[in-house]
Amino acid sequence: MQKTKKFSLGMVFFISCALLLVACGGAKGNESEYFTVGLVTNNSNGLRNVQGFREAMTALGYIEGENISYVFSETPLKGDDLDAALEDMVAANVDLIFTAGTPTGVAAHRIIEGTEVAVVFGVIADPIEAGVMENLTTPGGNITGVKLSQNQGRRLELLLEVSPDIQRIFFPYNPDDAAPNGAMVQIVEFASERGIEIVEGFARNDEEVSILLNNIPADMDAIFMLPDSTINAHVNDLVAIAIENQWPVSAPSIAQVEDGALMAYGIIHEEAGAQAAPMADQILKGANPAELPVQTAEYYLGINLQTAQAIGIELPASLVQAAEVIVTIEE
Amino acid sequence: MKQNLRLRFQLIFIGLAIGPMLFASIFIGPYGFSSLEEQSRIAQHDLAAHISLEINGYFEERINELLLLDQIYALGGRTSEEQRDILNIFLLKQRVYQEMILLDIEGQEEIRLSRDSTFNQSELKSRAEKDEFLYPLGKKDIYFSQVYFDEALGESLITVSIPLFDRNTGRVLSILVADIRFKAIWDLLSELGFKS
Repeated sequence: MQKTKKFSLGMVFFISCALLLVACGGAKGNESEYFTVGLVTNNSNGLRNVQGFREAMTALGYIEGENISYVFSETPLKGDDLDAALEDMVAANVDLIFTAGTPTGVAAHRIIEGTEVAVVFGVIADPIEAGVMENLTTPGGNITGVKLSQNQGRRLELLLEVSPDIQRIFFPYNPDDAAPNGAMVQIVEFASERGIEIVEGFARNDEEVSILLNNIPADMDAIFMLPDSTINAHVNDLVAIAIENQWPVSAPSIAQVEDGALMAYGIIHEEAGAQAAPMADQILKGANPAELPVQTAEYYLGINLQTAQAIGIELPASLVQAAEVIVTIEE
Repeated sequence: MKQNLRLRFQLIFIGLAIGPMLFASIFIGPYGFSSLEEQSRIAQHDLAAHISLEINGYFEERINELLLLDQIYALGGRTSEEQRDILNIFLLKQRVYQEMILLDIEGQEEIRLSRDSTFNQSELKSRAEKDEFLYPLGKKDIYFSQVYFDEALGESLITVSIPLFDRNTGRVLSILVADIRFKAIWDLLSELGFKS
């Protein structure tokens, strides 16, 4: 009798355990993962990329506080501060780092080496030229993202359509930054074919940029801004000088047309950041960054009719017709 | 006696707890599985139909654009400069196109415009042996290439070419070649979770 009692109690215990396990299994199945993502940029326009990235991540179902949290200083970081922020992210073992701006992507690539932290950039001007990968289709490392188009020659061609008499163009840039150096490679060939004289001006920091902008040779016909965060942080000063001297300015992003550059054939920062979000989503879901091809950021023709009026240039009607972003003349 | 009764109650309780579950798993389970299988099949069919519809719509739209370009602007009969202007505006405005090329009746590139590159006269080449020239010229119909991946762009493209006719004689004046970006389709598939 005692044996039967033990058997029945055992059965009850077994069934209770089984039911408990089933209940636990169900609870675990509903539990969603929580991710931590680091965000870095080295320039003020990069803040727009970050904003675009975060909004696109939200649209993909990553709700801040619910299933994702961001590590972000909310301000652009450079040099040692940038390295320190990236090292902290790696030490905190974040699930992914999003970078905006070529120098941040290059720094992140260097700092994640030997770790398992993935990097998605949105954008790096030219990832191969910047040395973060050797192949755009299969990046091979723990880094992928969105690059700029190799459209600098085309942008120069559009500037010449606006002002066909241009002979000498001023190119201010930071020679230590991979992004403008890569852009210059694209420009030199086209400029020489068209007989355009390139005048380079170098500046490595804010102080040097101020000196450079105040010493632009007077016989220039136009200014060509490159994808270069050091120079482009001073777009307002550059535009003011250009308007004063009646120089057309061609810029690499639409944001600078809104800041007063005559024209741009380039990215919308928020959109470029948003373009990187689906790649981050795939990586967080287990995809290997090494196998995710680098994408090219979408780019647009933008013109500023106020600036055109201020410097006395009449834009070809066909170009105005083709522009997708137009800063109109205020009534 | 008392313990025997307790044992019986316990066995009845266990039987009542497990019995319905066994019944459900043996009789209702397979029925439920086949029902889910059917639902899944219908969902996949709907998804495939949706994708097919989107892709067809996408290409119909592109072909209509190219045909309209000729019908509205009479592209084939314009001067080279006018053709270039029209194609330039079109290319800048319509981001779904990566390149626009106009071939003469011999298959030589007369105009080649790209969204991100520049081509000088010496870079224009002959496409006389290429399908994008031979097919529309011979069949007087629209040509579609296979989808291919452009590594520099990081996107898939498809080449489409259409013959441009002389309205009076009906003879082919030139061939308009367009490299169409597959990104919209790519994005659609990505949204549906196909890309990974």
